[in-house]
Amino acid sequence: MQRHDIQEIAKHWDAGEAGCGHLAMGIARALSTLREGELLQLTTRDAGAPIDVPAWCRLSGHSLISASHPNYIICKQGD
Amino acid sequence: MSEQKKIVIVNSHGLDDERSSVAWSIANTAASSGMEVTMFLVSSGVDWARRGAADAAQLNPLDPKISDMINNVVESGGTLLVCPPCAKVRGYSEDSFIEGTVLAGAPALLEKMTEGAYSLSF
Repeated sequence: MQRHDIQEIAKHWDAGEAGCGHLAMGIARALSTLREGELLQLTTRDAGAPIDVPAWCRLSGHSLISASHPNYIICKQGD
Repeated sequence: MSEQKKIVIVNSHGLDDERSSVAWSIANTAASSGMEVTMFLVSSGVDWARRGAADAAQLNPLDPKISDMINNVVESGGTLLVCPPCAKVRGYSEDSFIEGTVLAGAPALLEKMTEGAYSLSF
């Protein structure tokens, strides 16, 4: 079993319909209160999320652990 | 053959603004020159990807038909990124848009730029 399957979600953020820059800023804000290695569960109804969430993770260096729209799990990486 | 050059063009103008014709003309030229074209449509610019909306638009009589330019960009492998909130606020859904359209926002645009894409904004 992979580590993320047994690791608890540290925080859940329902982004609602936020998209584009609003979604990206919200994810960054949600991760800011977590420690490195902790997991954020994101739920979003943004139709662009399947492309934008992985793209934002690659840009910002945080790890996208799973992506199954509308749910995503992101592992916070170091600053 | 050298690596394919990339360009992203941000167009925020709609069917009533001649600058849109310039944006599509440059996108069309880039596609015809072998560049990988990403058109990022925001604000009123999302209307260009709406099914049927561009068919009758002709903002500069000396430019090619805009629908022909859009079709050429798509048929050349170009991507039309449509900003999701800009589409949603206008009541458009994924079904509203022509083939080649992808709903994606700032992160997708920025990633293209980090890949070395040239950028233009209208």
